[in-house]
Amino acid sequence: MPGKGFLDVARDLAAGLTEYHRRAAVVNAYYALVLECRDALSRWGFVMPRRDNMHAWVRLRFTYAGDADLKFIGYALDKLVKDRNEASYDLRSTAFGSPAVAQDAIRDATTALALLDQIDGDPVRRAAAIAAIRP
Amino acid sequence: MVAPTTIPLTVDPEAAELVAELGMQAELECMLDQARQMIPGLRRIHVEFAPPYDTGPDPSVLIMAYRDPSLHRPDDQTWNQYSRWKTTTFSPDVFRHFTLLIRDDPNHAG
Repeated sequence: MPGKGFLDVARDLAAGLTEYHRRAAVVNAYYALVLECRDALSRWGFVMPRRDNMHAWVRLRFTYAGDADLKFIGYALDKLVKDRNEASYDLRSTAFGSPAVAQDAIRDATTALALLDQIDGDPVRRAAAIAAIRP
Repeated sequence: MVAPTTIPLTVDPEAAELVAELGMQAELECMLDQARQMIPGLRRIHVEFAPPYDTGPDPSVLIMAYRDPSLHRPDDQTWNQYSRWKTTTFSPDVFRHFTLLIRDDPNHAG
């Protein structure tokens, strides 16, 4: 089951009328991206240490890769994870009063997922990406 | 671009405590200076404490940058440019403790 399916859920939720919908849209946009990134790392042969936190491990593999496209995906993860935490836990936040944050999150996740697909679908780019990631 | 020195800055005590505990005051100042230089329409900065929740092993510091909402652009690359600067300037051990978020500031007149 591809994680990117959560992006469709995010889009449905972003069209909802309440702040709950907009917060849930942000959460799902983040999970669509982080799960796809986690699974890509696994396909590419990287094994997460058992005691590491999945979110941080995935984020830092991408952010500190020696490849500009992987870094771009890492930056999206770094932004979306904070948005997700704010959406899930900070009920005092006023950031979700308008659709702007949810729309930005969906846009960022969509762009990063498209980039990940391009890398994964091209053997040359995929090999270069794998070589650029710190274990 | 010249960094405006009059951008209001507020720091939550819990965030200041974490920065002191980490010994990363200079790194924070550097990130704040860079935010002031890079973010068009920046109105104010608030530094807050971010609990680790379930997405990371450590608490971290959020640099909330509030800008003029009329400058919001869907294809804005400021955040990516800032992140690129941050990864080339700091090690992962510093990077993981700080995150910048740029938010529209509709409640404050420009």
